Amino acid sequence: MKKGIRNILIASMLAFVLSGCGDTDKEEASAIQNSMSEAGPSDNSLDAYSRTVDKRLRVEEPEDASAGGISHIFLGNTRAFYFKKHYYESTPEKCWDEIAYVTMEGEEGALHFSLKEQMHVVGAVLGTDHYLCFDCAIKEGTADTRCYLIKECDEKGNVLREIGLDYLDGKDMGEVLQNLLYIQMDKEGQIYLVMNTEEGVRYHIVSDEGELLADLLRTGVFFTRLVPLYDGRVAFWENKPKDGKMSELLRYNAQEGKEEILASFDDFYYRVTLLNENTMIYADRSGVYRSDLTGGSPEQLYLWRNHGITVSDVYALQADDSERISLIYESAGEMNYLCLEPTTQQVEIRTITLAVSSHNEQVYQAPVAEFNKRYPSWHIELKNYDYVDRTVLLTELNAGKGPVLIDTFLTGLEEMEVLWEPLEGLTEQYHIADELLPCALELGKIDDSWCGAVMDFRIRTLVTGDPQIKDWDYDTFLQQVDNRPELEAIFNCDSGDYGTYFITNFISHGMEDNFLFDADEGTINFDSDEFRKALELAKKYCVRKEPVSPGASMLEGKVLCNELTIYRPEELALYRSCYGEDANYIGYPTRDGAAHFLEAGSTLAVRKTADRDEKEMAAAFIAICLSYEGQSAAADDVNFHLSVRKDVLAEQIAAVNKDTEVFVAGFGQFKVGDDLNREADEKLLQELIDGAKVRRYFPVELRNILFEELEMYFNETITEDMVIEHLKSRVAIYLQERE
Amino acid sequence: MKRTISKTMIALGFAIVIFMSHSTSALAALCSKAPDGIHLYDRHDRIDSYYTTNEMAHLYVHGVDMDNKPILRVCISADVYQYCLARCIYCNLEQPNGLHDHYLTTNHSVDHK
Repeated sequence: MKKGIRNILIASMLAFVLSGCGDTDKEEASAIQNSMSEAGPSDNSLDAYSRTVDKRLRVEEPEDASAGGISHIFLGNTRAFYFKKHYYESTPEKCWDEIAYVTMEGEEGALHFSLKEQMHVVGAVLGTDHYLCFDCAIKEGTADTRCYLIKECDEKGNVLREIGLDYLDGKDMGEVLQNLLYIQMDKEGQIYLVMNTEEGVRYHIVSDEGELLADLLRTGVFFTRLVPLYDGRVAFWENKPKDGKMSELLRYNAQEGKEEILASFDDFYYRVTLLNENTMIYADRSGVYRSDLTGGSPEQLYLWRNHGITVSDVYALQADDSERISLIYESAGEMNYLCLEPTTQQVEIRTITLAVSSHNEQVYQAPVAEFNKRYPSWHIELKNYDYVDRTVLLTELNAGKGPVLIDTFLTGLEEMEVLWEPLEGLTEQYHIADELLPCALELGKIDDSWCGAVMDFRIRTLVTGDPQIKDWDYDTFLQQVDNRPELEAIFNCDSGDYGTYFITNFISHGMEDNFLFDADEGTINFDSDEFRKALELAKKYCVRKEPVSPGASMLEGKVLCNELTIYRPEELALYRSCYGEDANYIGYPTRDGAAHFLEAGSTLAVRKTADRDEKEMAAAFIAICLSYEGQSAAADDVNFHLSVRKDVLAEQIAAVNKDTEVFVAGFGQFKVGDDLNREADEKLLQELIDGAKVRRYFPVELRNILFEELEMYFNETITEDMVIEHLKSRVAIYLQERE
Repeated sequence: MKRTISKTMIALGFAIVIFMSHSTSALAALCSKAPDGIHLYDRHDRIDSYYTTNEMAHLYVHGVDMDNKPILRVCISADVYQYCLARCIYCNLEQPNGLHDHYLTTNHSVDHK
């Protein structure tokens, strides 16, 4: 009952905030997110593991502290520690140390240490909630000989014992403090130190009485981390990019003098450890997994997005012998202590499915996580479809069933109009439209009804090497081609039949605007001199044995124009380096003159036959996707294009710098470097968007007719007269039936 | 004689079939699944292959020593790039010469948050 009331209150609070301001008030949304993350331990049962603890772990942030000062973040048995050396550059006497902690029971606290009591390096004592710290002093009985010791301290900071590292006696303190990176104690009391020396990385294994048991020099290691294992032993995680497998987990048996490789893997995990002697567990950007000792056969244990978590890094990970897992993750710059146990209880939750194409699944990860966090009694399940096997999806949707949210890349938007719920009424309370580029709404409209929520878009246009050409329609464009006997090609393309493409997409842009017929008047153009000329030029220039590369050949006048797609702002720097500062972005010929075209990237629609609650939740998800946070997170993914939000698009432009790299098919890999000119690119991008139209295609049935006949003509199976006759009759019938 | 002519005609027939299918397939370089008929190599398909580059040393402040002087330590950073294939989003065809890479993360030799 209490949980039900709490959820109602939270949902009401969310509805109040979201209805009042949509997603434009970033601070309020952030506050709600923060409060939600500390709302309590309840979790759903979607994964093999469930959360028992999720607590914020934070240190103080003194306003007058300088940047710098090391941190150590590590786990105890039932708590998480965050050690921070607060550094004051101009007043070093103010420096102080802090060990903040949070326990499984939710107790928070911090121990403060003055400069006099400072700790240079701290680490875990496995199997306990104690910690180690490394200290130095003047050796008793001497005037100035340095000695070094490890102190084991309890949860309250009381020193339980001191272990003198006599083997370091007399060593220069500066050198020791420079070199010592990490310390940890295993369950048997053995101490592990990792030092960074000039010769390479050194491991010291020391007994619980301070005796040096092993001194190992490791070369070729890029980084080492100390890893707590499930049985209380300590392993070394070595990253060696130049050898076979990139990373190894190994332990060293000091008594036997033997090295044992426990696991060997290639992937880039945030953290890794062993669950048992045959099983590795790791945390990466998607979640927590178990696998074999090479990272193979991964099994999902806890997917971040299923539980409303977005993770940018994991700083500590351990499992115990009862297979309980604990970790410390970073999200939005904050540390969090998370404990997981195998799921035992089923928690009732309502699920709505989001059908996405595998090529842009990653774009939805952050919004799905955010939705699952804000609405814990609901869950969005991402279901992956390949474009090739979408017939199963279409069958379900046509039967009035299937996913509630659909990325219409899989189905088409306009052609499946009958399936979609109009979005204006559903999303009105979120005031989404105010923050979007005007074109974003246009891209998702069918006639005047807004049915598709477009997440991102791209621009398609033509650039020409002739600065004298200011405009062209279909006739003047074909005239330009015909008047240039020096041409070797019309546009850049691969080898093969691009004649069909030229006729159906280069000089045709859907039912309303094309060179082939006038759907309104009911007239067709196939039996005309103009069409015959178009066929002749297409055959001469667009059916190719060799590809035509973009760039130089156009600038030399051998190619009339280059077809370009602009996916990301940084590509404009590439095009500028290729075509020059005054590149003539002219656009495609259309009936009324040249135009650039906009194409939607990911577009979400809502199934009309979903129930009322499902539609409302779908609308809430769309609001998250189109929020500043949703779009910013998605923009990090390489498969996300130009944002539909004005503010995020501006940030995408501003983020381009000299080190930005981009890959564009036909141009290869490019680094912006000295071609950086954000102002020019912002201006150009705005001009292209402002002047652009929504790209339209022919309906599938008509497209199939045109492709079939034109392909036969271009591969010389049928003659020019035959293709014209066939097109005349088939297209005429199609237009009549359509009416 | 008749057998020779028959064999010749059969062989010629095969040759014509092979020639025609080669010609046809050489022209069929487009995407039957794409709305405009051409491949859109818009899918960045990351693969399990990496390299590191840009190895650089930088200093970070560990804390202060007994004389209140900052303890500066060296950390080596290296950028990790992951290889990626370009694929048609409609038919999943891999683009010829489409192998490229994307920045993945920066590794630090020392864990210094």
